Amino acid sequence: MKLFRYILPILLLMSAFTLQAQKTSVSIKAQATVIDKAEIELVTIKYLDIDAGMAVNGIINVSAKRDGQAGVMMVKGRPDASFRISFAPVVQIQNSAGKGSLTLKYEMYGYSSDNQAASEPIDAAARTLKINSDGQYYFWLGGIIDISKARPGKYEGEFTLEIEYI
Amino acid sequence: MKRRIQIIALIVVSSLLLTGHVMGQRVSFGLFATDGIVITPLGAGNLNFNTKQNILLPDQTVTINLVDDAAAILSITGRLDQEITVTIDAPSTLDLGVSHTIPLAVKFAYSNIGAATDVLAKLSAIEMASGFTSATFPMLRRASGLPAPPPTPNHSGYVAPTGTVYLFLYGTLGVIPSNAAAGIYSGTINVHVSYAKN
Repeated sequence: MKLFRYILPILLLMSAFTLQAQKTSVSIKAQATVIDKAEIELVTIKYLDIDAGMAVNGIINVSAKRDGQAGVMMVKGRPDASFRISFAPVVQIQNSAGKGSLTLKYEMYGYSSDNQAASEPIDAAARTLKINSDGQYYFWLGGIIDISKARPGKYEGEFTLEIEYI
Repeated sequence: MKRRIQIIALIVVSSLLLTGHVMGQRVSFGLFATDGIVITPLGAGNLNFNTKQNILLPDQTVTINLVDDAAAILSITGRLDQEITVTIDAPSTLDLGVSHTIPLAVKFAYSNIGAATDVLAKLSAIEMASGFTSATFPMLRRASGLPAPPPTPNHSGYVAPTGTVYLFLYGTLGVIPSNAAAGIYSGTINVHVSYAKN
């Protein structure tokens, strides 16, 4: 009789140990990168508008400085802050609806206010620019593209613009 | 201080549009222990709100839903004849240092139909209501009819059949305070799994 009194607690103890040992845990990271509104923000005011009807001898040329079809972007950032940008001036855009690709050569102009005619050319090399006292800087985007041998389709590519405060 | 902004150029036969921003980062998982149950992170192995919305700004709220690719996915392998208890221990905020926080509400869902892939599993996942942090369910959902027979007791040479349950984590971040400091906010979600009975 005494023997049973000791065995029972021991069995219960072993059972509890088994349950404990079969617990498994994993930790995962939850994360979010927040950008300060005052830090930097790129606002697309107008998209670059290219139409096949604009082609002359198979070449479309949208002037960033003169054409109304030029894309317009505005950087919103710290007032009077200096910054520099860099970008890839030439990009291959692929026909996602079929074969082929097109070469698009970008033209970028910039100015510290919304005045396209006064804008200045910005080459791909990093160059120092200055946000105006209202925290704004404007870019106009044009480009040259040869569609003389292009196949019909939907062409997609990327334009990368790097902005860095200095 | 360096920000990279990407604009997607799109030409549809004869027109070209520019739009879009890209930001990103990645993190990794850490395993604590395994014994009988194996938990494996799938895909990116994290819950990254920038995956749902590239650029997060103050005053915004971003929600990752179950159907979103940004939902974190875990596979849980264990004995098919057992029930398991899953407990989610998530912080109520993502933090940047000690003084900057963003409210976080994590939800989870599970799929125990024996799906071959996480994609198929998501289609039949059972979502837990907001506020629930734990659930107990069989490793393999039982079909209707009579209850399944009791598990075969362990004995020498016996190898219990195993199967996989998929777990999905998602949720809402925000509202991001209007005075939130820029930077990487992070937190750790602990997922505990154990057999509900033995």
